[in-house]
Amino acid sequence: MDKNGKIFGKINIIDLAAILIVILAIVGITIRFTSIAAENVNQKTNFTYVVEIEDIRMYSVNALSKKGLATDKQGNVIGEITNVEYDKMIKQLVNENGEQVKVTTPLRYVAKVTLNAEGKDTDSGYFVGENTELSVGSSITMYTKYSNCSGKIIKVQKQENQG
Amino acid sequence: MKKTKFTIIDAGIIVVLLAVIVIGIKVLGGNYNSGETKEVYFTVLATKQDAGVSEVVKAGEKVSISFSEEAYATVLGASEEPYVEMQLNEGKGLYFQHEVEGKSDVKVLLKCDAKISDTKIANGNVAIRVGEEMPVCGKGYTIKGYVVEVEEGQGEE
Repeated sequence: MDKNGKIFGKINIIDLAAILIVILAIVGITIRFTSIAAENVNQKTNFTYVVEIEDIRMYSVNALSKKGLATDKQGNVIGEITNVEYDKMIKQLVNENGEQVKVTTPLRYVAKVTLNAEGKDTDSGYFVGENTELSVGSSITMYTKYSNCSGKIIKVQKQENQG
Repeated sequence: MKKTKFTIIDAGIIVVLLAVIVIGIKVLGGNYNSGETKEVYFTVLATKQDAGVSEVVKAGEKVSISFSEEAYATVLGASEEPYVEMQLNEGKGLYFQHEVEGKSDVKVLLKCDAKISDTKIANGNVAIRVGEEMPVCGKGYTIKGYVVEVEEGQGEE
């Protein structure tokens, strides 16, 4: 460093410190938001998954049937609804005679919503959106343009590798 | 006083800082999409209300549709029908339905302008979706229910 505070007579020490801070900020942000990518070999993958939503009214079935994009609470897209099927909501219970009976719940339905999504196939699982794991049996809350609902993932199918 | 020089390094720093700010806003800002503004028609259903409550809801009245946000809508009409309670008798394996005296299901039809994107219909920060809990707060009353129907109207001219 010379008497003017410059290294090799060209770069000011303040400039150098600012450059280092900016580089550190970029590295920090990269690590924060791509930590999964750094740890695992990611591949963009298409998934088809089915969410079962129980005990809903026809209002919700109708709103889901308008399809469209589904997001998580933060607004990250977690898939596009491609199909909605519904059936009567049936409960199984044992009656006073000890017989197992199936009882249809009036005005309630169970919907099976199929979604297509581009996600990541990582060492720790399948992910869509920002960090929503696709795992059979796990709960998921999804928001569409017209509805919000929570259900359980009952099927996950990996479609193809995109490299 | 020594004259300050603006060097190519300074320019580079400013460019990098601007890039970091832009990327930061994009990453942290989420999928913000304001969308277009349209009129939206929606229905709030409140179950098990006191019978006759729909009479206090007046068509044309401006009501608040959130306890915490500034969001308003205009009442187009209100209707009610008897509240029917369902009870499961597990022993018999049957549901029994019966009207509850003095209680009603109240439907309030509302309209407001809302921003519409591919993923959301929102009046300010209040999302209008089937399944969302929503109050209807008018002069002298508050009805708490859920959105059960949403329809898009015409766009702004």
